[in-house]
Amino acid sequence: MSIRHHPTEVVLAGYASGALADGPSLTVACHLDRCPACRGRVRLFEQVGGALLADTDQAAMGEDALARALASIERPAPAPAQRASSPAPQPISGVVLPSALARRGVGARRWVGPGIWVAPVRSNAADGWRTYLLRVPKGVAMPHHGHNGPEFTAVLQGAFHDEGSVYGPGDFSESGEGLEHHPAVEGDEACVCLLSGLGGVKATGLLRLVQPFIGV
Amino acid sequence: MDVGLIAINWVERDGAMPTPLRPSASVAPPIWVDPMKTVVEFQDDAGDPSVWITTIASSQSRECFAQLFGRFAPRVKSYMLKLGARPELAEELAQETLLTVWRKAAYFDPSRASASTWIFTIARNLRIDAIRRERHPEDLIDEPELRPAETVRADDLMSAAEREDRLRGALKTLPKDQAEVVQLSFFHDKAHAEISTDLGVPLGTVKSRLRLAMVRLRAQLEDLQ
Ligand SMILES: [Zn+2]
Repeated sequence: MSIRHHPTEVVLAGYASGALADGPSLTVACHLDRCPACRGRVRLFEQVGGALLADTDQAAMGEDALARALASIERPAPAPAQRASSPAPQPISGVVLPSALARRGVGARRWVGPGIWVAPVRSNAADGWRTYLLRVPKGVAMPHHGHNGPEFTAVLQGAFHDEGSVYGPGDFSESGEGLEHHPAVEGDEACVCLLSGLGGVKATGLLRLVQPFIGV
Repeated sequence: MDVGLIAINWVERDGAMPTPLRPSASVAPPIWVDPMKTVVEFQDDAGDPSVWITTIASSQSRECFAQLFGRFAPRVKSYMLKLGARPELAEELAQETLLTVWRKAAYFDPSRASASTWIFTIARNLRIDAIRRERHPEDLIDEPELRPAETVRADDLMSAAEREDRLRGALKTLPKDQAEVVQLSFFHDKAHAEISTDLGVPLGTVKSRLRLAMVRLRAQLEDLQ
């Protein structure tokens, strides 16, 4: 199945310029892993960044700046930093993770319903974004819920349908604050997505019952 | 549940670091260095920065490094200042960026990226790390991801430096409202929702201006091939 849903230019520009938060950047990276067209768009944005840098005005450097730089290039490069406290990434059986995600590491899965699990992804949570993998088995619809803030989704496998569109592997979706919907898994396969959201979801109806367990 | 674990990884961005190249045979133009003073004569805007980087890779040329430093360190510092960095941090990030250029020069591929695009991606990544370090000083940072080069596409036939020259020209011909949104996307540490309030226009307008700008830039690059 070919990719039909791409990040907007604004999201890709934020990714290329570094303005997009860490969690959403990971969802974009999962899309880029499968989408050469958007990789090309990001490259164009990076070229724009380079062109703007070449044409920007100059800020005076400290008086000894060049001498300091010439001294520091004589020192050997430090050995690559090791992660101090993070456990080794755990492979998740049956799910192929894009390299951007595999390198980050995914925490332990937590089963929250029959065939449904969530697994946290290491990301910068200080900015308020919560980033996690969600697996939902075939035939299951998410209960009706609303969003308190923006949320980005990249489909890793399987498919879901939402508001009249089908999202398959590699597809990207962005939902805004205030959206109320109930996406459902499409086809014969479980759906695994990477989600990154700000502000959490407002439970309406059934989800209120399970939300304390899901914690999203 | 605690889905928000603390992050430490380098956020990889496509195209920042292609595979290392063999030392290049290209030679930088001779530059006068007074060995007694280590003072280098800068001729801003003269000389090709991609040749300086490949010469650093092939022969660890300090002269080329000094030229590159003179050209880019003040601009990287200015970029950091515009994004709201304190002056000391902006200076430090400019130092770190040029030091990274020295250490990773072998990964620079002039057919893939212009010098300023490559340096931009390094500066951007260092800034992302610096912000993370400020919030989580206990975190250690991974080395930047070294990604394999992508297959060359038709639009890569134009050299990266030539492409950049044309892009710089095309950026200057953008309508003012589009140029403003492009500028703010890079020189503004804010999400687009906040850019739209700054400009006093709705978010949808920011989105469409940016999209129009990119369509226009892409079209101009393609026209010029
Ligand atoms: Zn795409």
